[in-house]
Amino acid sequence: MTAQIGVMRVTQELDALSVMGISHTVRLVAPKVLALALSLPLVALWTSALMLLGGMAAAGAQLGLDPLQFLHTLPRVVEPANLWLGWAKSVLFGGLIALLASHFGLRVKPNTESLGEAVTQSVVTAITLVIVVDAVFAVLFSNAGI
Amino acid sequence: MTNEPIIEVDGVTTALGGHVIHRDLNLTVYRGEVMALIGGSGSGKTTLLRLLLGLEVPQAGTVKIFGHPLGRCAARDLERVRYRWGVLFQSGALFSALNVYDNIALPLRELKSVPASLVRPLVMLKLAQVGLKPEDAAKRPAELSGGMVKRVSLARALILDPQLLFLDEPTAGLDPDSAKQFVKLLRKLRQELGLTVVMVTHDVDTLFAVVDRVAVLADQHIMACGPLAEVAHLPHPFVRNFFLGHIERCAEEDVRRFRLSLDDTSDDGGVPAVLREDANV
Repeated sequence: MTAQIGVMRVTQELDALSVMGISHTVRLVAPKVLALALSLPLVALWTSALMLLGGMAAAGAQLGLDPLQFLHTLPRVVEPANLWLGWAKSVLFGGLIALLASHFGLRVKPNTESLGEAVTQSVVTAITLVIVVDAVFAVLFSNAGI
Repeated sequence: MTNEPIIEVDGVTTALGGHVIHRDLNLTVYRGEVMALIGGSGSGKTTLLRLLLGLEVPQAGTVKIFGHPLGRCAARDLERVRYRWGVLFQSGALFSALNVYDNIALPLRELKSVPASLVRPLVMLKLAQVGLKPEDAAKRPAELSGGMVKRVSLARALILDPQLLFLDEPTAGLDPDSAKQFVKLLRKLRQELGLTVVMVTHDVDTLFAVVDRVAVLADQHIMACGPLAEVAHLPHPFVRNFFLGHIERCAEEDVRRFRLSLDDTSDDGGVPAVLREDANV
């Protein structure tokens, strides 16, 4: 996303949008934020499903647990609220990552070096941000007991 | 031509990266005229154009377009101005993610004042006006040649029927035939729409063909601003080199003849007006 917006700066497409009176925020940033806030939960759903499936397979191989038994017992051991929390977080992370990527994209100067720098910064900051926000969540919800 | 100023630049000073580009620069463009900015490389022509477009904010001085001050004005004011101008960027600046049709239709769709059923005929009309075929509409900007990018970009600039047109080197990189077509198109549009045009150009033929007044940008300010014949005889070294070999064409009579010949040479190679005129006399 950073590269996409950054290249638009290099090719003057951002300027063209400006002179047409089209807002960068409305036409470039908002769709990206919305799209990632919608699609990251889908990724989270997919990975959670695979994770549970893996857990089920491992439990079957190591402990000889029946898959049905695994599914029955799991909600009693791990609260289902965890799943919902994880899902809700992925919506927030999606929006944040897109916002961050767009921010760095719009800061690109019209040269290739600045473009590369911005992309690197964007990736590093996004990873750090996700970890930090996740930590904040952990502190907040540690009292909630889930 | 009425004497209503469209663009007023007053005492503008611009500095980029600690380097002063314009110092106390003044420029006025009136309704219905074609103004050309000429100047050496790095003299700040493009920066001046960006100032006029509101993409750069001057350190001092004011830029007014249609009487609205740019830079420190309310966003709504700027918005109102932006629907009244069209811009052709030097490199075209087409949206590479959209095809030609969507590129041209974008300003229309953003404005939302035109019914959706009208968008297609309007886009096709502009495509034809700039000399492109209907099948070009489905192409991507990456598939277009340099000349076609310029034409598509012009079509996009014209789609809202602007009153003011900014052109950044419109004929640079075009072959002489395309450049002449472009110039003809510009003259036609100007007669039909009463367009005010500000262009940055290095092409002497374009200057002779369409321009009413020339502003020479040198030494951080507008060194001279006036009709072609006047400016061409200035003793400044840049001007002298710019018009080298063309000076004898600068007399008003010659310029008028050149324009007549352009207007009347139809695409199928009709007899130029100059020749006919001579025959009549």
